[in-house]
Amino acid sequence: MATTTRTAGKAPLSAYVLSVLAALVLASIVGAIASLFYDENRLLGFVIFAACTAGTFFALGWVLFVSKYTVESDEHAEDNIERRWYDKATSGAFHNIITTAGIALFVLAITRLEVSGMVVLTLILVLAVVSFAVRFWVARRRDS
Amino acid sequence: MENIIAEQRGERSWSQAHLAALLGVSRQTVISIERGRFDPSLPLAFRIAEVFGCRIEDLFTPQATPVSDPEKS
Repeated sequence: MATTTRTAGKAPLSAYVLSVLAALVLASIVGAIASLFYDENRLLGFVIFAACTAGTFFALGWVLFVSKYTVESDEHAEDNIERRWYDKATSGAFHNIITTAGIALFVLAITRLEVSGMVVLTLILVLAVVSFAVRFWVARRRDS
Repeated sequence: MENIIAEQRGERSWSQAHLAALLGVSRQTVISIERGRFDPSLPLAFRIAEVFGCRIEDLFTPQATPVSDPEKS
C-alpha cells in the first residue's frame, strides 16, 4: 500500500485558485458557526475562528485540488526506513497516550477533581505531538 | 544482519542516490541498510538482489542465532 508521495510536477493555476477559494469558504463557515456562540461580539468570534482555521483549510484545499498534480504515489513507500521511523513513533505515542490517560483518569477519580474538556483534549493533543516528534527524532538519530 | 551491499555498489561505481533510485527507495534507506541498521523487507531484499544480479543470501548474512528444533528438545 502506498502511503507517501513524491514530487511530480506543477498544477494548473485553476487548481491553486480553487484550493484558496475552498479554504476561504470553509474558514468563513467555521467563523460563522463560531459567531453564533459568541453573543457578546459576533464579529470578533467570526474573525478569530476564521483566521485560526484558515491555515488548516488552505492545507486541505492543497491536498484536495493541487496535490493530485504535484505529487505522485510512491509504490515502495513501505520499504523506506522513514516509514519504520513513522510506525515506531506513532506506535510509541499511542502507548504514551493510553498510559497517561489511564493514570490521569485514576488520579481524577480518586481526587474527584473537575477538569474542563478543553484542557484535557489540549493536553492529549500536545502529548501526542511531542511524543511522536521525540520518538521520530530518536529513531532517526539511532538508525542514520 | 550484515551485508555486502556497499562493496557491490562500489564495484559498480554507483552512488547511494543511484542505487536508491534503482530500488525506488530513499537514499537514507540505502545508507541505513549498508550500515546494517535497517533490515530491508523481503520484497526490497529481492529487488536489491535483482539489481546486483545475485541471490539474497549472496548479499545478506544473518547474525549467528542457532535455530532450535522443537522435536529434538
